[in-house]
Amino acid sequence: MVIRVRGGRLDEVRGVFAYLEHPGILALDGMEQMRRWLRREYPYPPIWYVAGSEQVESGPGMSTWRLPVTSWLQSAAGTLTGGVLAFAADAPLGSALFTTLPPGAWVTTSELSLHFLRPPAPDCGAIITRARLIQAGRSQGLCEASIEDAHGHLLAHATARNMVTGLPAPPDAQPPSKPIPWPEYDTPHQFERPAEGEIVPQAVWDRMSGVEMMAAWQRGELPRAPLSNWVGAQHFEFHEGEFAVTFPASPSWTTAGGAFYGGTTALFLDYAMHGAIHTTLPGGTSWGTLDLKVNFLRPVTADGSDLRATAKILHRGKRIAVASAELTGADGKTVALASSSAMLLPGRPWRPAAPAVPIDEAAPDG
Amino acid sequence: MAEAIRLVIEPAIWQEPVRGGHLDPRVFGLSGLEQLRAFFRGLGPPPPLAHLTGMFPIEVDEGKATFTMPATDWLISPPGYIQLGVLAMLADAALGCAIQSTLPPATPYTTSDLTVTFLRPVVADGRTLVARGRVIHSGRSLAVSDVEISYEDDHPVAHGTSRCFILDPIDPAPDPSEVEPVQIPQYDTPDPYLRPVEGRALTQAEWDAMTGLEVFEGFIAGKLPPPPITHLTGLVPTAAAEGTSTFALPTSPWLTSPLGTVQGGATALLADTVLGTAVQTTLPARSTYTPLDVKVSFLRPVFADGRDLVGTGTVEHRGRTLAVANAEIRNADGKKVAVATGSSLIREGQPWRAEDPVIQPEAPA
Repeated sequence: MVIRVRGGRLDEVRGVFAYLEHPGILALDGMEQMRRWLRREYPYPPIWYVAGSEQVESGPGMSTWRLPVTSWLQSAAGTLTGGVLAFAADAPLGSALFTTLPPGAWVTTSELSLHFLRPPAPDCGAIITRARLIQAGRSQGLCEASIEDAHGHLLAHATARNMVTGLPAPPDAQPPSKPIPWPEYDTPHQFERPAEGEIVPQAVWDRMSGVEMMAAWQRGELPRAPLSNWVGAQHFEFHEGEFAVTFPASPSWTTAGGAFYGGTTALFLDYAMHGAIHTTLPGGTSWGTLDLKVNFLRPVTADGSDLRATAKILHRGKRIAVASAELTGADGKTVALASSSAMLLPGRPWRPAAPAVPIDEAAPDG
Repeated sequence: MAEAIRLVIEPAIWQEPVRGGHLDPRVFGLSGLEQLRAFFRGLGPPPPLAHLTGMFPIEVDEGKATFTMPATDWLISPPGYIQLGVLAMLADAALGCAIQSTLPPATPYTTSDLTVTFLRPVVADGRTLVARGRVIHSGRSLAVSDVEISYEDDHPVAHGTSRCFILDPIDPAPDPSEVEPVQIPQYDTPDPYLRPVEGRALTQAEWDAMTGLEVFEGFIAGKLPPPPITHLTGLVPTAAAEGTSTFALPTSPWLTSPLGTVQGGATALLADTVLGTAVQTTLPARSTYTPLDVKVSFLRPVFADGRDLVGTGTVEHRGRTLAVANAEIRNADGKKVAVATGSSLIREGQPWRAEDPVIQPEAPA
């Protein structure tokens, strides 16, 4: 599958929409589908080829996923942002509910909320998300998850509400009787390749304010971060306390049903809120995200058209900043809303090897 | 801005002399868990919120706190349900105390963020609501906890999470050794939540006759009866237009936590109210809304000086079935004390409940 994305990051999209090509899979209940995915009986969707995130264990009402931490995920400061953890969490949270559903049902994220406890180190290996069902109703379910790194450090806690919708298998469709062969590619997948992009040295962070760095990025005087390349961030605009950026709604962010992944939507919104917070900061200041909440309003069509994330600061205290963000589609309709708060750490370097831990720096605004 | 005309609410429970009290400050010399156990040992009076709502801790252990609250008619809003914001008060108590139970001696803490998610409607059927709080992480200066609220041993009705900042220890630590059990005061009349309820929910016929904004304007003009939660707390609407809603909540001592400031859950009640009613102002007649979640970020402590906390909600997104609103809470000096977001499910053309009317007005005694 090769899809040209206008102004986009990728010109090749790998993977298979298993549900579209083999709709008989939907005749299985959620748990049985998860078991077969776990055994890799069906080829993975495009998003796996980009991120490498996959299920490692599931049972009724629970699902655990692993996201390999590659250099692609690093921000301009060399850290992993809260948005990356949201990206890791969305799939397992939906899957924990999905394991309890009968055949012909589907889940869509409606709300995702995370509290961050410590930033993952860039060399932490992997992000492991263990999700568990709290409550399932007829049309929605609530799940929670603990998010850890490969060393077992608790990084974050998340909850998500998923809507349950009907997606019955066509009447004549049967589940595949044997595993479906995977497509073969000659070159490594994106998450296996070396990252493109560079981290901005601490000396620059120390010297330049947020708006100065933004202006330097716009003039091409600072390197693009790996994360910016990974998410495909395009044109951005800023004022003090405001930041807007576009991302192509690339088909490479799609799941096995062809839907745009909610974790990517959360990552886009978090990216924009990071930008808005950065515009308010003097030089020599780092920050850590404390929480992130996303409401998903409409599905995103993964046609490569531009999504625009607009973020603004709601509160800027001495130690705490609160931001909100809106993601709009090419038709101008809002597809998701988010809010987030961050702990500001004046005088603290980012120290990518040993990032500042907001939980050990924290003090409320007086 | 013109001074808003303030409704006179009669009776006004929150204007009565406050009951209960706060712990002897020397008790803070104990560990967090021992501070909580001090209540059970009679070292302090029940806090005002216990007298107001019947909310009380029934069990504390390291990393865990369980609170109960009777689902009385006093807690209902105009739709006839116990709103998510009231559950936020119960959630906040269990979330905060679960964290407190892990703290070393003389270490204060403050709630920074509170998120409550709705699972199913809560009716005031007199059953007991149980909130089980549990610590997820307790670090040197930040802790996160979660809570599940259910009817006794039935299905969960709400889930919540919160983040607290752990402050520097009080130095020198107070000496708790001489604290004696206190005489628990007796009162001539029952506690507010045990009395016959005042006010009522609207009937379905009243909802059907008016748009969401007209209902709101009816409350502001005093043409519709205030709900019980207004008689209990003083929470009143002051302004509305399509897509926005403003309420005031007097910072009475009845709403204080054991730390003496206005409980974060009470601020969340105001936030949830303006988030939900902002959505209500966009609804045609015979439509209902259910708040699905509320997230409150606390920016400054709120002191119980009796002046108004003012919340304003604004609809950010109004879809056919889902609406998202933002809210700002300011103190009487105009300082922003909290910001909040929440989403609501909209059901046009549906009654609040299958049975009609929603809640029968109380017959006069």
